[in-house]
Amino acid sequence: MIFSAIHTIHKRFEHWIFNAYSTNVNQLGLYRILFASAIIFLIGIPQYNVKIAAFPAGVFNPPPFFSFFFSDIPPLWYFQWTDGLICLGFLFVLLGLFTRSAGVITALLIIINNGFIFSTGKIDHSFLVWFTLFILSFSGWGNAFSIDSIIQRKAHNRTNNWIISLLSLSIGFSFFTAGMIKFLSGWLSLSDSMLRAFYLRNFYIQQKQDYLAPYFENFTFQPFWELGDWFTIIFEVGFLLVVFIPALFRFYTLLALFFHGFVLLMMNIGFDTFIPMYLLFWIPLIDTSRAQKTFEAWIKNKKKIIGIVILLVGVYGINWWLKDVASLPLSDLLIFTGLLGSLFILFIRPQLIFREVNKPDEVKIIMFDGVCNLCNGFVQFVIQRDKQAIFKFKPLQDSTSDDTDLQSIILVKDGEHLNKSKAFLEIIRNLHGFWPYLYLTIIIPRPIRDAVYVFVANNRYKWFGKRDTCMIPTKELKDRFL
Amino acid sequence: MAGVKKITVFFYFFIILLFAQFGYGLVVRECYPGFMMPGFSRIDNDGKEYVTYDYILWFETKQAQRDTINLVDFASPLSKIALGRAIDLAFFPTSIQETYNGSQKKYYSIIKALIGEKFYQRNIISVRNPKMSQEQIDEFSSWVKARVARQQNADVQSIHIEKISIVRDFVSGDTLSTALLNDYDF
Repeated sequence: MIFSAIHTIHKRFEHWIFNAYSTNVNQLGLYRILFASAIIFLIGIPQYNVKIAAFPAGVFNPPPFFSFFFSDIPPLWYFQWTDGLICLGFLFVLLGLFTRSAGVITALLIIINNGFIFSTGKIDHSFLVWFTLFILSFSGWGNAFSIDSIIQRKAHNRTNNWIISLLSLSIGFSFFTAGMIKFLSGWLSLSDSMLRAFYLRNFYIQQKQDYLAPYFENFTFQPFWELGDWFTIIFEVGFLLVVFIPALFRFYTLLALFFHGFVLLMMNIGFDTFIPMYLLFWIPLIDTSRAQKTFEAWIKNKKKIIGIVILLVGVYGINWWLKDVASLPLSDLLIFTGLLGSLFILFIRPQLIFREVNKPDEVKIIMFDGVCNLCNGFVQFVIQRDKQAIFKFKPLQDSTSDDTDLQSIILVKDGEHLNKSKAFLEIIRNLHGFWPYLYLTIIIPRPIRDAVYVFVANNRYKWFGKRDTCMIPTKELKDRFL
Repeated sequence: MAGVKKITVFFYFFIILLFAQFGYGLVVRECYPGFMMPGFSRIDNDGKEYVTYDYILWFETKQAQRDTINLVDFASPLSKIALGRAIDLAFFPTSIQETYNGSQKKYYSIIKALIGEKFYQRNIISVRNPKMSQEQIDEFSSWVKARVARQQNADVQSIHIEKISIVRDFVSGDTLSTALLNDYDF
């Protein structure tokens, strides 16, 4: 019994590793370009020689990681050289030239150098983004939209999707650690507010008084601050739970964007490096076929290649001017864009969050009890909100099978028959409006969800009535019915 | 198929690594850069008052002029947090342990009881609260003095650093009291 349960969990875990986060080689290639562009043009390539030169070598207090193996901070020339290599590495990753080696070397140099910077006492959250660069180098993201793909002249369509699962696990766990530390130190106590205490410390001691920070100084509405404490912990600890449900993980990345935007506005702390990382989980929703055609046309035309090089140099020049001359805080702008984007999707396009990644537009069949008023009402409800017409309908009474169970709606997709709450949630996630948010209840264990479903199904005739014959679709809807 | 098995096993080990690192980070010290996020733990408060810690850096010129310096500007391009940590390490090493938040101290007493005082001091406290050598302290002191001199464009004779605790009103943010915890001259 126990061994069987362990075996089932193991199989599910294995399935999650290889299938949960699916992408294709073009989507990964596009992601590589967006990732490298965000670092180069918006966040900024780390420059350790500037930082390290600002601090005396005596303050070397190595944390127990890479720099633990060093007895002192290396000389300045080491940082100057590695800064140069890191710059070059990002350029190679952007262009897709020796993509894997460039990504791995660049990520390792950054992680090691971060160890030295952290040993002076200032710690940031950027490790995850450099870890992303490291592991994505093995994903096959250099096999499309890259110089490598042109040189190789051979299509490499294989992607290692398990790497994205690994990254999601790392992100979820990292947030979990932050939440657990807060939880263990008593953030949920109702008698005090940690968020306000940290806000006040940042405001007065660290003098972080930009953006909306001054407006919160005298905002003493206790429930707001207490809610902030609770939201922070539920959000951070919950990140680990949703790792295993990709649609919910995507939802959490939006909450994270909202959270980071708010933290920047209120506490002036920027989590800019996280934003390109979250993008990876949205990339599977992007159709890259047009981009692929454009890329193929470009590489056959020398003039266009020269044009791209000139464009890149131009973008770099404008970027340099915006950052160094106009002193525009581009990384903060990235966070604000993330905040606005998250609000847009959360309130205007929630169906994007829960949309299926694999074959989203494939026709799915809903089989329903044709004489049940509740089921017919549900079918009408779905038709009104299924703008892409991905669902077709068929009364269960038309089924040729003798053992047809009328007690549950059946969703046929990808050759699979789903029933009860699973079928209901899989349908609801594809609708327009705010209804896809009901998919969040997928986090509730299936036996509980199904018990509620069965309870309603058993009473549907009593509560909502029954017809004598199956519904007959109108002329307009006839082609939606099988 | 063999690849699938290897990767699955790797995932199991990875999860063990994540939890091991978290446990180590909680007990001894966060492994940075790593998968443990540096997060706020706690600022002790009772909903009415809260305590924070700050530093005041006085400098005296050879012409006997005395003034303070803004530590946020002084630390730039690094942060005041990094500077504060360096000041603690160099001049107020015991305060790092003293100010560590009260609610987690009970876990440390449990660990100490389990592994013994000697092992606890050698493998936990000494890693958690590292000490600077006298040579490092001298180097840091000279750096502070030189930096003040450069930023203030003055001949600096001496530096006086105070570590203070500030009790503030939780609602208005007003300072209710300040107390000198420690000071250091060089």
